[in-house]
Amino acid sequence: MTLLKAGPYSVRVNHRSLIVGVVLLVLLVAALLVTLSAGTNAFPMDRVVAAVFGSGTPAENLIIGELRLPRAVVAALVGIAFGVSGGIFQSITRNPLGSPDVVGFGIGASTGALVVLLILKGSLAATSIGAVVGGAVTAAIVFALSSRGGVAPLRLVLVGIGLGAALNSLNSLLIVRAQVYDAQSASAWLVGNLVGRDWDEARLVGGILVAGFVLCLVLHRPLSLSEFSDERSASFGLSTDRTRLLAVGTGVLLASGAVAVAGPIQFIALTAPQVTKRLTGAPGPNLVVSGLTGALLLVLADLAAREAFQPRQLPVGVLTGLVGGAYLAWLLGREWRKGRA
Amino acid sequence: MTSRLRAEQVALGYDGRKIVHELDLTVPDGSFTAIVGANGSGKSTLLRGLARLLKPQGGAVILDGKSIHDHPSKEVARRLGLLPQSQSAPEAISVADLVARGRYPHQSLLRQWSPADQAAVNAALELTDTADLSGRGFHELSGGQRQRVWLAMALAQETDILLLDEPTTYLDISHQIDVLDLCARLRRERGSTLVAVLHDLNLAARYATNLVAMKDGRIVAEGDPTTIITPELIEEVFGLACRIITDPESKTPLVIPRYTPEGTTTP
Repeated sequence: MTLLKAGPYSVRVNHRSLIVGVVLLVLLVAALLVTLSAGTNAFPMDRVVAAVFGSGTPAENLIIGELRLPRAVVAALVGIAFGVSGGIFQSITRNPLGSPDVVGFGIGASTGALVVLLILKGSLAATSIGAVVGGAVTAAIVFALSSRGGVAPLRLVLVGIGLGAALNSLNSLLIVRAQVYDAQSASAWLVGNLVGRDWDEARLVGGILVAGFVLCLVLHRPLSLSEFSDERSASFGLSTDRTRLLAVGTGVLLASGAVAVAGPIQFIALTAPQVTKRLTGAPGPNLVVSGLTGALLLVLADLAAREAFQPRQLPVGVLTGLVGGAYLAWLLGREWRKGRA
Repeated sequence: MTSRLRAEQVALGYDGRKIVHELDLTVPDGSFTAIVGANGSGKSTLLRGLARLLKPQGGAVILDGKSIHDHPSKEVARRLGLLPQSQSAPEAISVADLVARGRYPHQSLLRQWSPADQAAVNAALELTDTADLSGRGFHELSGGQRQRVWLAMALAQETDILLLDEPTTYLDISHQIDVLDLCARLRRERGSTLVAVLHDLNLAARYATNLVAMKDGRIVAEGDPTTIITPELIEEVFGLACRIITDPESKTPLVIPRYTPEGTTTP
């Protein structure tokens, strides 16, 4: 344990988590630089740095500064949002499957966005609001259905998976009923994509991340205590239901914000906290490292989706779906064996 | 006799089902109060009520002159601790980290760790004889070690009153004695008030300064174990025919169930 102090603020941090966090940050910056330089039009690093600061040639400024940079920044921010959100949900459900994309909050956010996109024909901003509202409504329903004199974590996961399945068919219904052109763009959106994302999107997720960060500062200690049984955490003066409500609210805000700009990219929220746990070997919730892991995963996935299949670009959601799906199967198998052992 | 914790006409239960009926209990300060009774007699429910985990259906639990539900939850947690039966702990947590999380009620958003926190954790580890385990993973420990670590977590909370829900269950006899010896030491050295639900009547009689016998959600007898434990009381509370002799070690009552070779107990 390392004690971090800043003025009146003092917090204890796991030693290895701190090192892992710094290493991830360095890797993230490196991955971002590679993303900016690599491609059909490859640039050397010094040109990349010049273009980032706006002092490149017009072509460099356009390709690096205006096309690649905002997309890479959005990828990193969305990755952080998914990673932190996943960390929060896995902490409160005490379950590696308790991630917003499995538990239906991500699907609910998509439903909200689709309603705005297909029925109300709203703008990007309106779609984002739709996603956040959709996620929040889903969370409220899951909470109501799974609370019987307190919210039991496992019940939350199971109810969430069930509701997610129902919402998935609602999403299909919305698409089937839409005009062909709208339906096509909605289906593409549902895969999760970062192509063409710009500074508007970056500002939107950035804003949500700032709010999420403040909430996480409040949440961190209650969350780490609530990983014990409800009785034990209550005996230390924690109000478990209030903690869960605030945590779900924060997690849904972050996940919905990410879904709003990038579509429901699968499995980042599921994988990031698990990778974090293996890297740090520390107990949860470890939200900072989880966010950094999510960012690194998504930036690398988007780089691969952009460049590995040239001349075509894959939506990044297809790639994370493939890799993450395999990972989910492995995880389920392991949990099942653990349950039987 | 002073008392910071008492129950006044408290009724407790779940989902409308009443388990503890309008019960009065005064926990003497500095006592080791043991609650005994048959399975389903309401002793654990009473403890949960005293710990503020259960809202009374009627009456109140009074802590320091005020209903325990009128205190903020963190305030209660600075005065009264609980050792519950549940065993679940976060994956990969170390002993030191686990005990440190017991400091929660003393911390704030800004001051998340202070020298006072470290001192309390060290003292708790020392007292429970778990300092040499502090670097180990909690999940590698044996049952006896785990119970001592749970106790350390509750002690790091630094409360004057500590409630224990069947602290010796699932432990072998030597670890049961370890835990109860530790409780006796706490009372002696720190002046702590202890309330424990215990299954083993003979251990309860040996360690408790105040014994509470419950049946069907009511208190049947209460007081010094040496005076209240009689064959009639055991018959009434547990439905067990027995003899009472004096424990040659501790000079406390020792309950010996009647024995008939056929295996049938006759009253």
